[in-house]
Amino acid sequence: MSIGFSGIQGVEKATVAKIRGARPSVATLLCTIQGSQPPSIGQLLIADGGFQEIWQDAAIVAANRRHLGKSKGHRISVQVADRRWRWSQKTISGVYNTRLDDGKVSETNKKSVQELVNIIFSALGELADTSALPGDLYPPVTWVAKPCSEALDEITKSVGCGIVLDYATNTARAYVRGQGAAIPANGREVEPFVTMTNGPAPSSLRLDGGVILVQSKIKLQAIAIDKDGPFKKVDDVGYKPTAGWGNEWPGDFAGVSDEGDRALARQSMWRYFALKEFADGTLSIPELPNVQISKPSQLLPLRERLLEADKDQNDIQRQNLPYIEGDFWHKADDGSNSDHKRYPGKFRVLWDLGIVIFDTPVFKITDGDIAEPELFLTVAHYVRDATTDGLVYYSWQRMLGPGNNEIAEARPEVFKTVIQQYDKTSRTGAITNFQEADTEANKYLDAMQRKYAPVEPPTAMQYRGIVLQQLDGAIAQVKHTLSGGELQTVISRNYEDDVHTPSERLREVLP
Amino acid sequence: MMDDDAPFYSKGTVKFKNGASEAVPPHAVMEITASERDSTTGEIIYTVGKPSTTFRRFYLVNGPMEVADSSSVSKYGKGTFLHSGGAVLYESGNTPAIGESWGAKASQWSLAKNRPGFLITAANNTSATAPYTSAVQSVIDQLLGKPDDDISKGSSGTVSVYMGAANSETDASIDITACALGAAVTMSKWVTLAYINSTWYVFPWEC
Repeated sequence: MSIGFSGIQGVEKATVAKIRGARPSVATLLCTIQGSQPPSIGQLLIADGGFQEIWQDAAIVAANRRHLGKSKGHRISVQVADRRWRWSQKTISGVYNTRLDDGKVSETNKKSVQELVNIIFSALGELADTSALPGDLYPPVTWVAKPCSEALDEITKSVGCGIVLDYATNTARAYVRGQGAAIPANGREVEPFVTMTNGPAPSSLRLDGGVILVQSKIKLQAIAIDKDGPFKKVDDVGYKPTAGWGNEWPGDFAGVSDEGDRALARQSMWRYFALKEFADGTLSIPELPNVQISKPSQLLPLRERLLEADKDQNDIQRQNLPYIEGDFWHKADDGSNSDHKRYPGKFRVLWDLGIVIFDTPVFKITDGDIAEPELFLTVAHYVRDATTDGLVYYSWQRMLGPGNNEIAEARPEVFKTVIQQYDKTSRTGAITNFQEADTEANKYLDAMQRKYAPVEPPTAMQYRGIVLQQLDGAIAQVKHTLSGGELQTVISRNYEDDVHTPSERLREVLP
Repeated sequence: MMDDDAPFYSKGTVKFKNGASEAVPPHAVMEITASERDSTTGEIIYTVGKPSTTFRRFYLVNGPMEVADSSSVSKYGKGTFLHSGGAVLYESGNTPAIGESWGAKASQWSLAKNRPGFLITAANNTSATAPYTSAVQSVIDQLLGKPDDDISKGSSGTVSVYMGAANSETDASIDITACALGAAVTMSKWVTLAYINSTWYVFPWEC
């Protein structure tokens, strides 16, 4: 009947609190003053008759002198951590599950929660059973020299799971919260069975997804900078020639008499275009019937890439670039206009204002006169609520029971997309990811349910001697104590009995 | 300012001012009557008009836009010399064919057949209201004509320029003063004209 560590003699008292997670369990040994320095890394042995448990690769993480009084003199308190002490010293880097604007996870770095945890364990050199972890959830992670212990806890806890170190098999093992063994009945119980409460149960779960993204073909209208600064329609600027713009050669604008105005005309006429409406002449998105759009500013800001993605020259999936089509003079000798062709020249976009600026004037020639071109920008954009001006997003809810105790989590990587389809200017339909987003959201709601839904009420039992119960999704803590030559064990289920060990919740927020 | 890679602008465009009392149609052949420098930008601005009976060795061709008449503040346009080829109006009644020579004609904006100055490349648009073709302009150095009077060797005199199809050449209503440097020429007899060192010289072609 003993608890001891390699090279340490005279253990008089010991407390071993075995906990879940990626941080180590700690054994505190109170022993006599040692004659020689023990090794810093060794084995912790817990033995009681035929029962024995060994912590391989355990380490002394602290040792303090304690004065117990005149009669007892000095002792050494030694803290021994199981081998998870190494997990916080090793780091991991990588970017996984990059989310594309079409709502899909990039195939180039797609890894499930289970695969991500396997990557970490591989980096740690640990054998692990991760089969309890979801293999169909792909949360985005960006690790830059991230301590493996933090990465493990973050990713497993976020999906209602966790990690334990199984001392019997000397391997790590993933668990699902709430799922595991019962408090054992072995005839060595010393206290009555204790049952406590879980606290208030959530009535519903809500997953707040990311903002809705839409790709549309948007008709542009020509604007210009007026003399006092603001953008205006070209027919509304104060310096518009009396005879209109039809005979004004762009870049020259001799009909604008004032030199300063002429400079503004040269700078902006037929070069600046603003959003007007969708190509079909409406501002409605049939797939989003609850969204009322009354002005194009509700589509801002625009996004720098389309929702549509293809593999690039390096075989990496990336979003395509916005483009412009339309009827415009394509600067041919004969003055003919393009018929809904892609604009080949350079342009840039003021994404926040929804203004397109061309490098050179873009216009149409009709019977020798200059006219406004018909231009259409294919671009991805947000949608703003008409009342609040907030970006429209989608939430998914799951009812668990009565009451109004709702728990919400944000998963911005889950969002809905609408790619409006057109035949020239006629809308022919839309491609959405609604079904995929709903499916993914449900999987995250499953994870939230694992994380937050009520589990069986907390219970604990105290035993004589050593009871080598392994930790799992239900057995949250096993504590052994050695005092006065007697060993005792406390097994806690769905809570942690030992008040001297930081709680699981506290460990999540501690560095 | 403009896209140099675009077809029209790659031809080397120049700015012009319409000096005519009527609008210049797209792709019109224009006679250059003067030029000036913009006092602000330094850009050369050509003053143009409708071709006249005054002989010009080269012309300017309007771009694809109509340019307002000389009374308008919007009388400025862009044209090219068509040295790299481009679109230009032609006189309906004949269809330009590749390799033909067409040229400017007094009182019209379009090219006329069997005249010097423009080598046809014949990307025709015959259905346009004002039909146009494609051509390359070359500077005129040789002409055909008949002296209005005898010109003695070493003297200068007036020669009427003739243009038209072979054996159907007619007086083009263009007069050129030419020097009979090497030999005398006879009134109303065919002569050739060559522009050398800023002077038109006349050569006897018919005895």
